[in-house]
This record gives sequence, C-alpha cells and structure tokens, in this order.
Amino acid sequence: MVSLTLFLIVWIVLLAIYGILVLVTLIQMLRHGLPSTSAYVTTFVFLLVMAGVVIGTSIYFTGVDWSVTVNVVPEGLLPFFFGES
Amino acid sequence: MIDLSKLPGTAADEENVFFLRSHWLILLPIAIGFLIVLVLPFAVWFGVNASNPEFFGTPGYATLYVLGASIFFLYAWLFLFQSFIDYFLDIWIITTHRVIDIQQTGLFGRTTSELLLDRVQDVSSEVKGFIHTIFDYGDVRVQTAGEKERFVFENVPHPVHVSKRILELAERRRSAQAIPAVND
Repeated sequence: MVSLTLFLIVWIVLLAIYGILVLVTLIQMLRHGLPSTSAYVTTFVFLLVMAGVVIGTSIYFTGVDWSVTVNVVPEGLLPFFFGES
Repeated sequence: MIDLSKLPGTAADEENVFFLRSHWLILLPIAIGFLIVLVLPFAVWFGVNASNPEFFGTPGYATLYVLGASIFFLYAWLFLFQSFIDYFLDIWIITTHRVIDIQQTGLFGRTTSELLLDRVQDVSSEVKGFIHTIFDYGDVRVQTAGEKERFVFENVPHPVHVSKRILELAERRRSAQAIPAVND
C-alpha cells in the first residue's frame, strides 16, 4: 500500500521537468520565430490549454484526501486487463 | 524573434521579396496522431468503468487516474507544440540578392544557409500526387553551377510561381551586376 502523497510528489517532479521543457521551447520560439499573428496565436493557445489543465487538476487536488493509501496493482484493474475470472 | 528588416549581412539595396514555409497540410498527420493520443486517457476511463464500474469509486484510484492522465496530456500537448515549432521555424527567405534557407532540427538544432541569386543556374518545381495537386504545393529545387543541388524547398505552396519568381530575380540580379556603374 502506497500513500497518494508519494504519487503527488512524483507528479510535481514531472511537472517541474515539464515546466523547464516549456520554458526552453518558448525561448526557442521567441528567439527564432517570425513575429506573426500565427506565432502569437499558437503560442497563446498552447499556454492557455496548458494553464487550464494545470489549474483544473490543482483545483481537483484541493478536494483530495492525500492520506489515503492505494494498492500499486489495484485488484479492480485485473478484469480490465485479463477479463472476468 | 527574427526581424525580416534586419537580416544578417543585408546589403543597402537589398529588399525582402517573400518568405516561405511548407504547406500547413503537412501538419495534418501530426495533428491526427495527437488526437489519437488524446483519446487514450478517455478510452482507459471508459474501459475501466465498463469492466469495473466501482473502480473509480474506490478512494484514491480516481486521483491516481487524474494524476496520470493530466501529466500524460501535458507532455503530449508539449510534444505537439514542439512538432509545430519544428515546422514553423523552417523558413526560406527570398530577397532581391539571395536565398536564405533556415532549417530547425528538433529544439536545439538550427542550420542557416545562403545562396546568392546571381549563382542560380536552374530552378525547377515539382507537384506530385493528388493531394499536392488539389492544394497546389510541392518542391522547388534551386541549382547552382555545382554538381549537388543547393536548396530544396519542400512542400511549399504555389511552387511553380515560386520557381518562376526566383528565376526572374536571379536574371535581374545578373543583369544588374553586368551593367557597369557610370560615374560622372
């Protein structure tokens, strides 16, 4: 049984790595892109969707009880992979 | 960002004629691939719900799903944007003096090549295939006196018009250089 907090920590670490990758990507876009409407619009849409997902999941996480523990291989998933026994 | 009015090595009388990118249609396979990837978390949700409707009701598993699906989506979204940048930052700039080829390879690779118009010997265009013909996009090949093809503009819109225009510019450039300057 593993605490949900551990998964949250892993999620935060992955999100931090993601943030670094986004920063590098944006720097490349700003440095080498042509100043055009399509450049601004696509970058804005990218950031908007990304922010929406991060904020949405963060709002969901505020209502989560992180002290709950879970099985790493949940029993309920076995029928999904192996069919009904 | 790149300022077209301040390209490196710009001559005093040099003007930008146009810049090219590959046709937007080449992004379609990437977009379709992304849509398929996007559907995966929802497919997992529906599949698990169908086989075990109470699974996500168990404390913790719905949260695990949200954690996994959100980070999966974010990375897929970033990958899509990086693929778009790889396409978006590949440009060809044609001025009255030269052709500049800027190719982005991944995030950290960038190759810039230049070709003076007065060295252009031959420009050919190729539109091959049903989709290419309908949407009028194809390849333009720019050849100098050397053996190897110097530039290939891949999947650019209106390739016939582009090749004609480059030939005109090259001829004009050679004519301008052949006329000796007259000093009073």
